[in-house]
Amino acid sequence: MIHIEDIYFSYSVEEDSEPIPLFEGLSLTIEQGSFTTILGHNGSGKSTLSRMLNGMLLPEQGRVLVQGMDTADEQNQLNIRKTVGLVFQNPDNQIVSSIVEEDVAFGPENLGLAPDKIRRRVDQALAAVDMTEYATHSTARLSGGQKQRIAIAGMLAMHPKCLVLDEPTAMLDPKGRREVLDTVRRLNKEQGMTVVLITHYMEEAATADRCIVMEQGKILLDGTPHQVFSHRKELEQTGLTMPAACQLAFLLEDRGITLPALPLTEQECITALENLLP
Amino acid sequence: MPILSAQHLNFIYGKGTPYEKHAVHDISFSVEPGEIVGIIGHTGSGKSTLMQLLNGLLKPMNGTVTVDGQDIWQNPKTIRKYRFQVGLVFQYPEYQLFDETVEKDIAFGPKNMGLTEEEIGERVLRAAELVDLPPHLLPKSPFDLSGGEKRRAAIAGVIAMEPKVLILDEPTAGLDPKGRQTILEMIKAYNQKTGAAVLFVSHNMEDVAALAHRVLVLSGGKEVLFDTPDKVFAQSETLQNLSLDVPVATRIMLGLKQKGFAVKDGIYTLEAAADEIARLKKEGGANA
Amino acid sequence: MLNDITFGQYYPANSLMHRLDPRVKILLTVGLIVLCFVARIAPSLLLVALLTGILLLCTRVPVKMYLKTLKPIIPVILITSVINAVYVSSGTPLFQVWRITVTTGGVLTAVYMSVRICLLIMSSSMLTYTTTPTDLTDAIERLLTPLKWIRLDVHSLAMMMTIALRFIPTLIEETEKIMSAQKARGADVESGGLLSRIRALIPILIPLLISSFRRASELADAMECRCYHGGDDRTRMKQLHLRFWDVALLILAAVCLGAIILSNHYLSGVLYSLLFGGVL
Repeated sequence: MIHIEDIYFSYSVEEDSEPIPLFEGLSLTIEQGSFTTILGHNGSGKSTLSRMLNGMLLPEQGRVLVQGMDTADEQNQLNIRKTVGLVFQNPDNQIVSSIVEEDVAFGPENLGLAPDKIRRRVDQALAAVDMTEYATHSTARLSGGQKQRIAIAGMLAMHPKCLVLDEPTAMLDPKGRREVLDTVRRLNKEQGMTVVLITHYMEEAATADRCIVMEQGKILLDGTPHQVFSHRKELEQTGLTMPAACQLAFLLEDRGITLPALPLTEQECITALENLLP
Repeated sequence: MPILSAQHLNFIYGKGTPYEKHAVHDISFSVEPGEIVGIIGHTGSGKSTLMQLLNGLLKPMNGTVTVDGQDIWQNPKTIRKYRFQVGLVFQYPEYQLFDETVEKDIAFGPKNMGLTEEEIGERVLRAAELVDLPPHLLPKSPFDLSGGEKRRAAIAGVIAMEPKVLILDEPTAGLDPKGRQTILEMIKAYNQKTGAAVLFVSHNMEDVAALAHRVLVLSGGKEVLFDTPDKVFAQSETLQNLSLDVPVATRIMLGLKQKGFAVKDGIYTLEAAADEIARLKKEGGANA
Repeated sequence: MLNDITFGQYYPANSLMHRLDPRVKILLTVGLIVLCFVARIAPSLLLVALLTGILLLCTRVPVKMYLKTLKPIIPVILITSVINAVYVSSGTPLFQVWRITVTTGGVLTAVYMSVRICLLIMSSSMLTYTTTPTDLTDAIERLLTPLKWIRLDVHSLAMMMTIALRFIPTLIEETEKIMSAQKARGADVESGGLLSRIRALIPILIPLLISSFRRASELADAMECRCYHGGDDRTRMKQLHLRFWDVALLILAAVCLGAIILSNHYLSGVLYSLLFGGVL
């Protein structure tokens, strides 16, 4: 779906200052239909990477291919942006219109589609994020989780193949977080949408197909959540917080109790303990 | 004597309009000096309104707030005094930074208190140290700091008023794990070093479990529970009915209990949970 | 909590006026305002008032709501009335106060002017009560489209209006929050002289400005990600269609406009002598 081939990128903190290298020969492939989470601290390069995926930022060297289209080629620009939908952190700053359905229509309107076609897409997109009943509501009165789902619907209405979400839950309360994550997971499962979820909550990564941990522009760990979370030492060094179930397993390990497999969720943890305890 | 006390507080927004909302409904509780109180509740549970009532930014429709035994609205003209005594840090406080340098920004509160230049300077340094902001950042523009540093600079701006009670609204919201950890440690250290009482609102039950001496649970503007964390989290059913979370440790212990294991009640930290599981394994093993 | 108050004056109801095409409503309002000033004699002004009244009743918005909009402009009406009464010296003198003579012409002009101002306010409230701000923006964009040929970037103008409408509640909320936060640090915006009050605004305005820039830049990114590339090749989901009532009302309005202009010309002499002959 997306190929990142040996990219280099640097940024300057202030004007005229020496650019600081961020990516030095980063390569990564995102598979069609997969659910990938990218974990890392602020400054690890995960947000920069997300903007590379739809050509908002271009690498200095190397290239990024979206379904074979090079992001550096300006002729591909619109095609790439509608193939890879990008959702940002702040739900307030990506909504354009004061009415829900008009906001969702913004993308398809830019694509120059016929009015009845836009209408159909908007209705479908709102249904996909479970916001149909809010179609004619004012966007100002929605909760953070609802606003973020509208932002997702706005992308869905452009019929993307891949959704990239840059810390979509960072500013939400637990309820909003659940709403957004459930929506994204459902889109991946039911519609085969390729999802790249960038986050610093490790428990959000637990149910993904693949988990990538980034540190200072490099890929530190890459694998299934089980594989990645087993690297206790490396993860503790990055200062990322493990899912509580993992933490408990590690605390038990310290007390001489080893679970057969590392639990990632509470349910896995309870089942493992049930089997372990007499 | 409690340092801060609320008696039968009520607050209604837009009274008499179609948008009328009873945001705070007969809330009474008190905070002892040196205590850390965690406040939990949904968005819209009245937390933000309650906080603004506690430092006199809003005036209750009825009920009283006392600081150190003094009714803060006894003389409305002196209300500003209590805003210095009950420091309030809003959500995303970095968005209120405005001055040319971090130093000047932190000094804004103390300056409004009418202190001497000398006293202000000392307070700025003390506050910066308490939030772990290195001195070389003080002459910088607040807008050149990193996200976590900005947050700490903004908190220092309230701490510099040396309030008797510090209230923080979701102090870790939007930060990465490292930033969250720093803020939580800072709150704990501040409480221990200064002996000031701290109230903080959080959605993260693990944070509340780790820090709070007592927990206040709000729902729909009403006070649901106010007790020690073990007692509050033992009422997991009540909390879950309000669709509030309980700490993962509590949930796992509850899960085990439902499977018929004889686990103790009132466990809310992972450490305690691990100890309890180790105990079960050992004792269970001895029985078998 | 300002964000709990619906922005704008829109009064939700299901009426003929609510369902009308917003373009037609704008044209009708403009038409009514023109009529108010074209009508130079009492009968034509009465006709305009009657027409406005009928349209107001068609909105199903309580009359009380319209009267409410008149309240803030009572001083304006009083002042213009006094000025008109004092300065217009046609007709016969009625009475004299100090050195000022008030004439029938003056009183008539004052009455006409007051009626005009009231009608003007009520007809524009009719527009804002029955049309959502987004519909209004939409209609303005479409009505202005012909101006493209004088190189006016109508699309950008409309986009700016849409975004402004969208962000007004957000910024109001933000202003309130920053104000509370600075007040919590002892900021005092309510007392002191003018200069100190202006200085007290700095801690509020600077964060607000910075946050607006941040929002603008993030919004621009988000719009670009949603394939925004200006007004070229852009379509709209909502199409405005003129229906029976739209056309009917437009024709009716045109007829009224014509009739009143004509009545000004041809009837004025006849009616004046009929109605006010005695006085004159």
